[in-house]
Amino acid sequence: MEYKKYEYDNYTVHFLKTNKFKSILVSLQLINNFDKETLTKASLLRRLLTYSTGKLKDKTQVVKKVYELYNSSIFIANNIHNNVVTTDFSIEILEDKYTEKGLVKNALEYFFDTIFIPNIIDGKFEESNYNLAYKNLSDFYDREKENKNKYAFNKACELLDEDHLKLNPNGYKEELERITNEDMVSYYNNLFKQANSNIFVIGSFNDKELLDIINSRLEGKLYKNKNDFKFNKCSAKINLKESVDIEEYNQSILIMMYKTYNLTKRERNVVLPLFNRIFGVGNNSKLFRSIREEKSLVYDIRSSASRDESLVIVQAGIDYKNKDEIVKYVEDELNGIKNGNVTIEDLDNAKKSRRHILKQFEDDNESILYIKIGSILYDNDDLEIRQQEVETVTIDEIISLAKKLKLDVIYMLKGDRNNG
Amino acid sequence: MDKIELKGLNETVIHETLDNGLNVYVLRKKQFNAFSCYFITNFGALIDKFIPINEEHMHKFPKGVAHFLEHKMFEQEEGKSVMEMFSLLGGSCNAFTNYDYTTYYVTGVENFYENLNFLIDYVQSPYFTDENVKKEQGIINQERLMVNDNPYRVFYMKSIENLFINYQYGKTIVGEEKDIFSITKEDLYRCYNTFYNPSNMSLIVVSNEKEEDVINSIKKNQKNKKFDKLDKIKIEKVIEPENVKKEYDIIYENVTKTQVGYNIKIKNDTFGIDIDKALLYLYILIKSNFSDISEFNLDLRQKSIIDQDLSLGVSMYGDYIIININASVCDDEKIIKLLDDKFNNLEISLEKFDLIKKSLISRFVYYFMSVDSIMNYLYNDYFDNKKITGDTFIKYKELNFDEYNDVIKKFNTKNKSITIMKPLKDKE
Repeated sequence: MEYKKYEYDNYTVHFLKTNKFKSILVSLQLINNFDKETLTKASLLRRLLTYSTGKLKDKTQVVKKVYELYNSSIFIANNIHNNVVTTDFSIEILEDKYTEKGLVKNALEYFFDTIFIPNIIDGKFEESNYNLAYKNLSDFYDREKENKNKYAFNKACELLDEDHLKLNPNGYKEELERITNEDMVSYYNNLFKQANSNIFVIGSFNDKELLDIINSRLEGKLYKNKNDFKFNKCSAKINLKESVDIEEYNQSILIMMYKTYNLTKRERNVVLPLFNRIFGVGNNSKLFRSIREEKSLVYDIRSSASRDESLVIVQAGIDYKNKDEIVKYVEDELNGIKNGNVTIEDLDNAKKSRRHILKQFEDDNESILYIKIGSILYDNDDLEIRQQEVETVTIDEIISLAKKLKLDVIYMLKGDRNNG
Repeated sequence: MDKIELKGLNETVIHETLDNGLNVYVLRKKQFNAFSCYFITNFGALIDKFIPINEEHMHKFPKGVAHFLEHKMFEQEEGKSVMEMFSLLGGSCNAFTNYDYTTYYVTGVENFYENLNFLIDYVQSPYFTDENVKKEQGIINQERLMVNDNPYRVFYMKSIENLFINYQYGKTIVGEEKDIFSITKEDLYRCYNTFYNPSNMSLIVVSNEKEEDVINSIKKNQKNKKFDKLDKIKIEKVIEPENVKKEYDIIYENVTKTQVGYNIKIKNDTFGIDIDKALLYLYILIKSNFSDISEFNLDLRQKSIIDQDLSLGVSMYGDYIIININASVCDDEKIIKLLDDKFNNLEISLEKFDLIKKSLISRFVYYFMSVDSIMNYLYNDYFDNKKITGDTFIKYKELNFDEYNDVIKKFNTKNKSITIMKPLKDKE
């Protein structure tokens, strides 16, 4: 795959050329700093920009336009990368040869119209669309409890120390209640001025034609500020927090959060994903084999690793009366790894599984694009380096990383509907 | 060996029925690294009364037996577990049970033939003991509790259950607690021996390997395995009347907003055309009148009668087409009245017909951009037809406005069921 970079005064364009896929995927990445208020505003803006535009005055017109463009939908997401948030505007467009001549050009016009021609009238977002977007976000917050896994995860995150604080990228209801329509216009205008701006495109296309469209729409709209991204320096201080909430569910949810600190770049990018696979990913992990298969205590137990936050999180649906036993078994499995209970077979299996995922990324345009974005903007490794590095990890490195895990949070969402 | 052209998509599936009756479908995608293999038995949660192989009488099995069997297929008599073996081979495996089928699959990027053969081998070597059956009961009961904590799934299942008097659709796939704890190893063997016979199974493979090599490898695998001869399996025939089981029902779940499920039941021979096309026309009708492309939906949202776009479904359940509209509301009576009125004044728009058709067609180009989505396409075709037909895309292309109008003329809402899910606090 050919990679090309075009640097301009106010933004950078990155092209990834491949004819493996039948579509063109475009992503505009705006990197900003954030707090609870800006995350909430970003969530509201996402709705405001996709419900209507300056040209398409309501959602029905927007949907008709998307269908006319062969389902070229626009997605706007806010992704936290440690100390920065990325507002990611993306669109996937089928190539002209599979649809009709001019589709790519027309869909790109619609993409940039959505971003740069909002439905603002007299200094305010058009009232009926603003009300719809506001209500939708408010209802979204009210519904967060309905997904017990997500709800439990967010509650557990609230227990983390300040240096590990994971804010909810969707924002907060109490912040929403303070926001006005005028605030949102001001937020929208500043979003572009304060951001570090990059645009990425993957697919098969004519460079000049695409650059002409991009430059004609981005010129004078973006600003190229510094990318402030950096990893947290986590405190080594451990202060185990435990908390239980009770809700009307059948089953209880257990979350255990482990802090790590002073990880090297290699540990964070290469060793941590492999450790995580050995510990709690998939149906051959230590947690799955021990707690589900041998002891029949759970249906679902898994771990996940947050590279940016240097956290390892164990999550399981359990019967509340088994809580202490399961916590002990999770700890036993981790202590086992710390004490050298990792075989060559464990490591080889984890490498195979990781290799499988990395190789599959080559088959997916979105994965290729976002890995490239991660390597350019967030100090991650490129796909090729990941594939090479994974083969070099040793058992000693897995043990050494396990030793850096310290249990920081035990959170229970206790289901009391059927004494669960 | 025969070729199934995926008409309009320039792709071909190679199909062969082996001597033992196993149906094999292979699609080659040279440019992809990944492979995906689905091993399917025509045995799902709907089937609980049948004559087991080598027996003479109908036998009723506990609910959830197909799903329980799926879990227990991962047991091996000796050596490494199924999970460990796939880990060694670099494959990623799992299984799922729905109302009609149980499917075992492996995906990966290396050791294709080893993974494919191990998938076949482990599904064809059952090992059930009293002890390993007992061990699984607690795990499956936890799964049951997890499923029941998803209020929208509970609501959807209840909405479907309320439509059917005799069909088991909408009833639990996992089984109730008493079913799970009553299943024995003998039950599992009787079900296994009946439904896991190769003549009741299919294998779908998407990979970058030559189709002929894949089929030869499967033939070689099957050559020395012995299976009982299986005549047509006698399953209790269920006749479903046209009326619904419950016209109105209220449940209470852990939700914040009231949900209204407005469900219509229509016999599938109502329209006198190919059933897949009838489904597509009804989908376009419902989509153009009730989805986010409709002015009706926008008006409901702007007036705060609903707080999310209406969600819609058009599906086949046995001999019936089910149309399902869900609304998140404050006033359930008001929305029911408005939906009734709208069904009496449906809009028939050529503009929306063309736009929705365009959008549907574009999906197919996306389908063929990854191995997983190709497999989804083939599985959906199989799911609907018990075989791969290759006709799906061409049916989309052939949709026309005149036929659409004919279908709408025959459409009716006379068999309707309303299910409402209210927040638990409203019960008090």
